Amino acid sequence: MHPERSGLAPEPVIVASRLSKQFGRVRALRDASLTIGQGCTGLLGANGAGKSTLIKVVLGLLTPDGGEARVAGLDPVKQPLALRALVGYMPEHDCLPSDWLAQDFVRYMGQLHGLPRRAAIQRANDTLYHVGLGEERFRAIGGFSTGMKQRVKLAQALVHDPTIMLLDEPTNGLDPAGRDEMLDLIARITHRMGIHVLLSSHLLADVERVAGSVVIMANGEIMLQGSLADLMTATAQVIVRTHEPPTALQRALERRGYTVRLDERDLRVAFESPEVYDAIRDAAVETATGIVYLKRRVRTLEDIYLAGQDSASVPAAS
Amino acid sequence: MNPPAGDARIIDRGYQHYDGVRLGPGNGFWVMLRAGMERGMGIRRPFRTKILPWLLVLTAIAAVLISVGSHEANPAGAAAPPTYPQFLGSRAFGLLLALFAALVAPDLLCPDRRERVLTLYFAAPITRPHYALARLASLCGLLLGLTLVPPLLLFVSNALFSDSAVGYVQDHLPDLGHLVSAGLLMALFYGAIGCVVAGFSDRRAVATGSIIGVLLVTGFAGTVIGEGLTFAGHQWFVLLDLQELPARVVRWLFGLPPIADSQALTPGTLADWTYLMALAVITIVSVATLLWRYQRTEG
Amino acid sequence: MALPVDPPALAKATIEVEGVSKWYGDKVAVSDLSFTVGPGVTALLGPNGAGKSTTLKMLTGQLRPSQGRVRVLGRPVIDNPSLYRRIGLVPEQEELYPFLSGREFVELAARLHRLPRPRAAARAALATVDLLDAQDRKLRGYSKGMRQRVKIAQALVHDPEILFLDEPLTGADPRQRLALMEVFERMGGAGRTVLISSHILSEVERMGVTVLVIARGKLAAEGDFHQIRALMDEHPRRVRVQSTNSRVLAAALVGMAGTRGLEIDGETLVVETTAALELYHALPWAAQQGGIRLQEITGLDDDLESVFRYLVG
Repeated sequence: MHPERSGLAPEPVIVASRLSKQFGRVRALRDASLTIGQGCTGLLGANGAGKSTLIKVVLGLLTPDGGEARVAGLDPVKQPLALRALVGYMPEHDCLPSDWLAQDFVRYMGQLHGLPRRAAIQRANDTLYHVGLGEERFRAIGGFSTGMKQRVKLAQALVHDPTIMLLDEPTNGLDPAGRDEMLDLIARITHRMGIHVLLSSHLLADVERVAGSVVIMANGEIMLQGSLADLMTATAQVIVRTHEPPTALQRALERRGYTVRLDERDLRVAFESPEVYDAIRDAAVETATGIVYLKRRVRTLEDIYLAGQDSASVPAAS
Repeated sequence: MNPPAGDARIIDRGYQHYDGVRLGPGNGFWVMLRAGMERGMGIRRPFRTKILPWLLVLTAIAAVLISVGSHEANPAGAAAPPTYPQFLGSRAFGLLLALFAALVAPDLLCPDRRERVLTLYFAAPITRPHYALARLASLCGLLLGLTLVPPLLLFVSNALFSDSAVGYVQDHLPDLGHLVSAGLLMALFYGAIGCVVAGFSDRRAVATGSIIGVLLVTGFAGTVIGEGLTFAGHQWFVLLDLQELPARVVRWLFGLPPIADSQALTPGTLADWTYLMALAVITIVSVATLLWRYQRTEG
Repeated sequence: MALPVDPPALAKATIEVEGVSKWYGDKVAVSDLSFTVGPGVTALLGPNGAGKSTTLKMLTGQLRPSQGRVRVLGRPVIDNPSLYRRIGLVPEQEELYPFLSGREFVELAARLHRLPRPRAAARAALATVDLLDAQDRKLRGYSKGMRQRVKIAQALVHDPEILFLDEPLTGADPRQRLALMEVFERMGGAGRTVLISSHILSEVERMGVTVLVIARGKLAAEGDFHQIRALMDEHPRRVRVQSTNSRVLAAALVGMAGTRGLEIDGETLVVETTAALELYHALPWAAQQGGIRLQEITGLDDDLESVFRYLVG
């Protein structure tokens, strides 16, 4: 019985306190402490920052040298098997056996995760439909396209109704339409199915789209964590893009006493109060300029990520 | 103007959580065991994967049926069916078992390595030893079919064709016991060797070749060094001939006198129980190595 | 929907594709492709299975067209080994020599190209992809992102005029992606032809590239995607406007001839119009008339993703 679904107050899904792990001379995790709450959380970081080590510790596959963690209320060191029964993992690399039928393999994985055979058959069936592979479920995985294989990987992580899912680069190899569908699936899993998702990805656009919070790592440390809503704060800049060359509008704004910078084709107007919007509007009318884009600049995930990397103490390993 | 609700309902058939029974971690072992045995015999797989394993099983069964049948049909002309130690200890039977292991062990172990499915296994609530032992158990389980069914068939046909079936069984009860022990030991032995060699390769063809190669090379070395050369302690090298070990153990189990190594230049044979020891040691070392290998494999 | 090819563009073209088709038995992979690629960065886009990889293979000479011609730097690309001196190729597949170090691998490529100073060239290439720190480690120990970068290095080492890259950013972390995109832009700016096949449209968009969209085996569009969007006249634009009075604004806009639809949701107004230009000019004017503050104006389908979806869908 999942604690969250029994109506108790929502507790953090993963809590880690001062985790460290060393491999030879490489300190993969240094005193990493983090809290991951409900919903979908993005896990970001440079290659070699310790993300895979963290994932392995969370799955109970690796015992940390120091520190402790609680995942879905369980201790991964003391109860790794009980924990893995509640976790679904979608690895980044190819990991599907080509001569199994999709339905059989997902059923098998369900059974390995503790479902009785009959329940596993039913759930495998349903899960494959949920991920959009209903029609293809009796075909051998070897004949599947990349998009279909990614869905099977997702299905095997979902079949046993996990409390948490760990997705590693789920949109790898997918074309734009496939990526769109995968991200929609992940959003459904988070919002409609009530499963907590930890999304590890290098594509910041993906994370921005589906995640509510992020954890950013560098050099085995947690550099930054928090909700995107809190982190993506408004800056003191308004961006204006015009149809005509922007110089006329720029001059009109400067005449009104506003500081304006030109960045390629974009105007960046200093925001001190909301009155700047009226000034922009009036200046546009005055100069007969069409405004194609107008928006107060918000810190993007990229800004946040790069800031987090820059404050890292030691350069990354690779 | 809405129609009255009546008995209509909207049943949300979206994602449903699972609130049923969740079996404990040990269950995974049995799931893998069964899946491995099915896979080895080509069940739930394309037809061509069924051909070789079933052919081997049917060959063994056919051999028994043919030899019993032909003798019964023509007692004077056709040779008597083999005795149990003759059957179990025959080179042909050993070869059959070796081939079966060489075909099925790679099929059980190599694709999971090559296609990196191990990552998914290790992320499930099973341990690495669970995985390795389940694979071993699947192969040994199938081999047990080969090592028990034909000899039992022979026993049953002997009983049926004797003057008194019940009498035959009563007289030959110890043989039945020996049969089963021999079958178990041989299944474990070939299973362990097959798995440990296959566990070191990612490609099925290479693993099959390696298993056969190991048996051939050890056989050659054992015979040549053990029987051909004359330095002190040379006879111990006979133990290298892996194919020979089960044959000798069968003789020992059935209480037969040890064979003199007729081709040895110097006299002195090893007691048959040394063969038993060797077989046990090799089996145990193989299993331990298999476990070690899977402890170290990247998940 | 290819833009007309004008003589000056043709003169600068480094890759010319004329009437190229490829079929396998009864299956047509690509049909009647004609386009040119010149210096700068060009992105080859398209859904999986639509002929993009086939096209790329024909451009690099790995596949012979069933019909038509492919010329690279003025010469046919098939069976032309001398051309490889001037082309760099970063394929998608993973096979590398695991026992070589990064440096050895790139130096090997340099030597194969018979460069006069292979060590220096290798060093420069490795520096470009930020692999100097790891250059002496064996390739078998390289992460996916590092493997990708070392492949790029070996494709760059001989300073090729044309560089073909198939999903070059796979496995690279965000910072490495930015750095590599900069490398490609610089190379493009320096007059080289960089052809990138990619699925990550948000990144393609940032590099300010020319795009070639292959869909259903045909060339669906070619050129700067903003211009392509502008050409998609019949496809109405959706513009989102945040203001202090969306209703009054909507009332002013409904009278415009191009307006196809208006959606109001609190302070947000989404206008669907086929006369986007007029809308951009009308908005400040109408807002001023009504004393309304305009806080946000964003095009909902002006990004490459939307353009792509329309062309391919």
